[in-house]
Amino acid sequence: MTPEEIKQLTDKFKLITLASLETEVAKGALTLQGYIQKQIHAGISPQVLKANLIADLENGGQIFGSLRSAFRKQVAWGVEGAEDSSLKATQGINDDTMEDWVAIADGATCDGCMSNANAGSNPHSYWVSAGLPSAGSNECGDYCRCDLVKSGAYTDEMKLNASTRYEMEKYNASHDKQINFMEAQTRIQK
Amino acid sequence: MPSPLDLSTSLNKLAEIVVKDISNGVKRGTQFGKPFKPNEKSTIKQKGHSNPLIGKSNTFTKKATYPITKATKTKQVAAISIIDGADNIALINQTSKTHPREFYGVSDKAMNSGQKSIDYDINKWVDKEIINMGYKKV
Repeated sequence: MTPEEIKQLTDKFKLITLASLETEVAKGALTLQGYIQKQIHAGISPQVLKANLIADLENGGQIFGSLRSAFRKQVAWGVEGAEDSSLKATQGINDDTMEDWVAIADGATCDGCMSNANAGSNPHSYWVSAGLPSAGSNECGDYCRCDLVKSGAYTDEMKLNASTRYEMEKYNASHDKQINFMEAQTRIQK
Repeated sequence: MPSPLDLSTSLNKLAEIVVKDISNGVKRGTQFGKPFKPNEKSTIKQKGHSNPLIGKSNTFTKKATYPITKATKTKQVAAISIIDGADNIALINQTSKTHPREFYGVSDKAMNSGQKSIDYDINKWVDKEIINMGYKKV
């Protein structure tokens, strides 16, 4: 591969484009206009009309469904196939899929997320009722930095490493004499 | 004619959410619902910690590594990139067949967070359209 080809590949990879869809927006606007006109002729009150439109927006109905799905598809990844693999990672998840809650192992993790991270493997339905990351059910709310991964993928070794990092950060924040990762690991394993 | 829907504010907010999500993914060691391939023991010893994708300069955890080109009302496109110098290392990690560490992209979690802002903009637009069509403010 020539340096120029490598540069082209890198440039293509690194650009994530987030865009609205002019055509879909225009189409959505006309659909919306037509819908409102029909409702006016039918004598529907503005409150009911608004409620119907909100329901359509929330449920991806005939007015906003295509706009919403087109927008999601339009969010582009730089790497060919990366979109597929990221989507594949979330495919195949059903209510019974066992998942672990993974938090960032540092002092800024809220109590709720820490508790979830220590709650072991649970079915996806459990996490949905407990509140998915960023769903706002924990103290961190929209600022949640956690993730759910399929059970087994986040190994015991990774958990130990995360606990070690947390221990190292906690210790070093309150002691003048700093410890390194290996020393923190020894403290954890004691 | 219907008034245009301006999603530029939401797109810019979404871009910020995506950058934060990428940076948090690196700090956490997982992205797109899966953990990154761990570092070799020798690498951990050398670095002094076990965080894949994190070196001495913490480049991939910093928001400044992912510059955003903002959307405007007339150009409703926001774009995220990676600064020169870090991009080739990112590419190697992202596409490696033996040590895959896919950390760069838009996760469902980020998209769902951004969608709230987009829905808010659409909601405002609906209100405006209803008024334009002759109804009073609802």
